[in-house]
Amino acid sequence: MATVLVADDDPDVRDVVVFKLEQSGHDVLVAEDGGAALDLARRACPDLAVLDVMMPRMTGLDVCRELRADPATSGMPIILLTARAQEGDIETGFAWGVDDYLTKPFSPRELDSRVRAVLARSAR
Amino acid sequence: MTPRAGPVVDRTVLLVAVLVLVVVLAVLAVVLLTGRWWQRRAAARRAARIAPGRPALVALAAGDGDPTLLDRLATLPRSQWRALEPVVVSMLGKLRGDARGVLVGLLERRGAVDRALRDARRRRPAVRARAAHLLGLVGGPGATARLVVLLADRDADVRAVAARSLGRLGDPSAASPLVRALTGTSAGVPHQAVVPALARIGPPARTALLAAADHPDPTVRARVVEALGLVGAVDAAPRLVRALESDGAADVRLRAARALGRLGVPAAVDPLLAATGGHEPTALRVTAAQALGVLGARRAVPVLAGLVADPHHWVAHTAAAALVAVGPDGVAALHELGRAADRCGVAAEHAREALTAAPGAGAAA
Repeated sequence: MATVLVADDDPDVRDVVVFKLEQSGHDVLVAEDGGAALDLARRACPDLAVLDVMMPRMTGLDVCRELRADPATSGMPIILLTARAQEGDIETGFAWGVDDYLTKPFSPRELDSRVRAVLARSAR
Repeated sequence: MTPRAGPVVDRTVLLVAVLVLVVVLAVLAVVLLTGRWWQRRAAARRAARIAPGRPALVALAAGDGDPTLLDRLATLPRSQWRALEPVVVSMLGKLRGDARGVLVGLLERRGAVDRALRDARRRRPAVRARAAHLLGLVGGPGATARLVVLLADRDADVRAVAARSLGRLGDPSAASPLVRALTGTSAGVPHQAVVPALARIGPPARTALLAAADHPDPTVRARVVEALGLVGAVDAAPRLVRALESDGAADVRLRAARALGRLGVPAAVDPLLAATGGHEPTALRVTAAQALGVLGARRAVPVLAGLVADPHHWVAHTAAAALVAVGPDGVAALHELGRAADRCGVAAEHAREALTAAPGAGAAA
């Protein structure tokens, strides 16, 4: 199974996502803000990152841009988890190379399916 | 000249004043520190009461198949449940699907929904507001009726929470009471809460809104017109066109233009093009240009291209952005403007700026 980075400043969302992914057999790395997520992503090079958009220190979109700009992490699959179902966020996310997105309120089961799908695509 | 003597202050009075000041500051510091300590202690006690149930709650929300989880949470001691219930309510707003369903089931088993229906009548506004919030998240029999009553609550915050909760439930039967709240025939509810609530109800709110579209107050008409666009009332387009063309209030015309753009009806193109005319107020011309872009009206490209050279910076800038929104035809028109002989002209600058700002448009055409 894969190593997944989960970054969200909301402990409720974070704990549910972590539980669901661990239940599916993944190793999960946890970050509570954008800066920590970027550090962890650079240090541990996870197989996939699930990033909240609105986080302290750095937004998920900023983390995504930084990861894409770094050759060591540019290929890391990213799923955005956002409370803002705004086309603008989603469009910007895709323009910066996000692989998939989910809007809050979210379904943990759907998130798990999307993580599987993105991991399967990236393994090809 | 003799130097003027300054005011004479008794040293004892000065000392007493300084002492009093020091004592007051010390008391304030003690009060502040005690307050903080008390808050930390209360938070720690709350966290301690939440801790035993939280892992089971997270597992339940995440879809753990353990059949005993729900029973464990449903039989938590009352003091622990009272601390955990706000966490459940908070999670409810962040989850959907099966996860949401099991949390609603848990709240029902703990009697939280019945309690919310009762709490909606309590004396303290904070209790009524919490009850309204929970009813909006969970719904169920009696929730809409109780929330409609709370729309006329004596407390403004409770009224606003009730409006948002009715929007969350999306029950069409709440459309008329919400429109009444918008038109001010019931106690004031902020339109910032009512309009999004109507938008969440969607097209079923159309009839109630149309009935209020001729309200004598232009502020109310403006809100109603905006809400008609947000609810997606496509068949209200003729009424919106009438408002755009002939309403006496500038704000109503402006919001009608925006609503027509959102609705995306082809019949709105000609009235919107007319609203971009030089004789119209600048704000209306800008909104109409924007609406033509949102509408994606290819037929509007020549007019919008002409507006990019408008002497009003705001109109020209918006027209350029609208051309990008129209799609390939609009982008092609912008490239043409950018390549124009007068490359230093204002229109060429607006065109280049819009193409640079739009992702992918720079490479098109």
